[in-house]
Amino acid sequence: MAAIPSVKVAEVREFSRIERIGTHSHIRGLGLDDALEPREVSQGMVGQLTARRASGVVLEMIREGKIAGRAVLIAGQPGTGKTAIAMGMAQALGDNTPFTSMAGSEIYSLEMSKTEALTQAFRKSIGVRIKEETEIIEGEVVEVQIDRPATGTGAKVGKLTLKTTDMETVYDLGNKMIESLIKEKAQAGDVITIDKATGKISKLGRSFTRARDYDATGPQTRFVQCPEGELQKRKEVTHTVTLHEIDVINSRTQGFLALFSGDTGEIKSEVRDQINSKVAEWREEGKAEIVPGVLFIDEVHMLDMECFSFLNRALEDDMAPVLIMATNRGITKIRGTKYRCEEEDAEMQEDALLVLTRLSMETSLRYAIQLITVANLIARKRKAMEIAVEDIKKAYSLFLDETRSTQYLKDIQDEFMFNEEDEQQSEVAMETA
Amino acid sequence: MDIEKTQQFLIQTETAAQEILITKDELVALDFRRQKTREAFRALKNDMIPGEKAWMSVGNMFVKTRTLKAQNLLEREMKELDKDISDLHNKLKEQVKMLRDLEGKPELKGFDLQPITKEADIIMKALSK
Repeated sequence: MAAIPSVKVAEVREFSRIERIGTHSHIRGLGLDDALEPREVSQGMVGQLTARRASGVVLEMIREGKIAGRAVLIAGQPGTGKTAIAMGMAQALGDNTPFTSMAGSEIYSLEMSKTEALTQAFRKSIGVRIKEETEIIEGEVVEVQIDRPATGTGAKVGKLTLKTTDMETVYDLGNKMIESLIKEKAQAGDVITIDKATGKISKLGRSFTRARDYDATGPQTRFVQCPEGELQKRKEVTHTVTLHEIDVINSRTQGFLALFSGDTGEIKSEVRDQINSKVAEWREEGKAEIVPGVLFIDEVHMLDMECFSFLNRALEDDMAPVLIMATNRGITKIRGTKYRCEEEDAEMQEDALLVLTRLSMETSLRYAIQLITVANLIARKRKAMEIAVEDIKKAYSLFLDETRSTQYLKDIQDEFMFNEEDEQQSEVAMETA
Repeated sequence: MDIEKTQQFLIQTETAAQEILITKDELVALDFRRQKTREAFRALKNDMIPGEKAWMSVGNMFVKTRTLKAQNLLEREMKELDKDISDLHNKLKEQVKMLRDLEGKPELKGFDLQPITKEADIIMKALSK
């Protein structure tokens, strides 16, 4: 027999199309070097050096998991490259970190409420990493021998000889396995895989060394190399799925179809709670890892007050992604401040509004929103129709925000019991008593 | 200075890679033994007459033992081999981790998780449809 030269299976490389199919399709990364310094022109990015350096730092923090649950705001004139930087970060993070990109106006839809749309966006950016492990027997079939019992009834017995380049062995077959082999039409020369746990047989192709057995083969025939190494291997595969995908799979019987049509509808909160507890259980048992990803909201000025309060709360969750927001407006009134006042049946005076906005800049948004309610009450108490600056001032003095309350507590801590400074004195007092 | 550092680096990475290749070869050898032991066990089971003695090769020696004793021996050996192979797999993971660390490549995440094959199967089936 002539020596058959060993043929190497060619590496299949995917040729990505190098065309400009979208405004940002040419961006392949942030274009930073190893010291996180931006190069002038690199990976599709040009200029904006300081912004790119800053995003590089944020990227490293994301990779190390030190920035989950925080928000980043990118602001600038239209056309300055905010979306481009976000695209660059997405490419640089790679496939394993979930990156969801959406525009602020997308959450307004007739099919879904705003909070549902935001919740879905959040859950699309949180990944769960799981691992599956199987023992498989992979080898080239040398011989399949099936003996029918002489009596006509009774189980068939068989022997299967499998080999790899390093070893060869014989397996005794039971009835079910014989049936699977016959169903798969496994013959000598085929390379097969048997899953040890399920007993499932899959044909990988035909061995190259047996390519000359027949003069003509069907169009579906694949030729593969004879497997190397052990016959019985352990295969471990990790997958990263997003919480949203798990939600959808669980919320309907044919949930996976909904993933493609996009029409997921509202997912009940019981389903979400179930999934959260299941994932938490897996985390405890060491079976899963949470991979916080990135949620990028472009045109964030389109979001209104409700959305921002929702975002505030959602970021405090223990499984929260990094939120990157981009806008081309400067400091503006948040959409809905006017409506919020109307909803609370509160009319505000112009300068009261200004004071409130300034307050929200210095303290926090939530504090400012709560103040509206309180100020409204105060205004009503003095029988006024509109909230004036003095009402806000009064509310401000009555209810402290976080910074002020911590400061206040620090100042008067010695008046409280179990204060650290007091302890030594009281210890001495106790001993002498 | 640079040449020495490069040399050191090369020595380290080559040693680490060689260790990995050695472990892989050990795995193949162990699996070979496992398959042969299993074949012997099956042959004994199929052709044995309980009570009679059978010939068994232990390394270089041929030993005639009672079939039951031979079966027990083989079973114990298979269990030991399974355990050794498991340990080697873990060792291999550590060695690959070290090599990737030396080469400056990012860590392969997720391989130290406990496996959840049943649920993972369901999820991946549902997602790939």
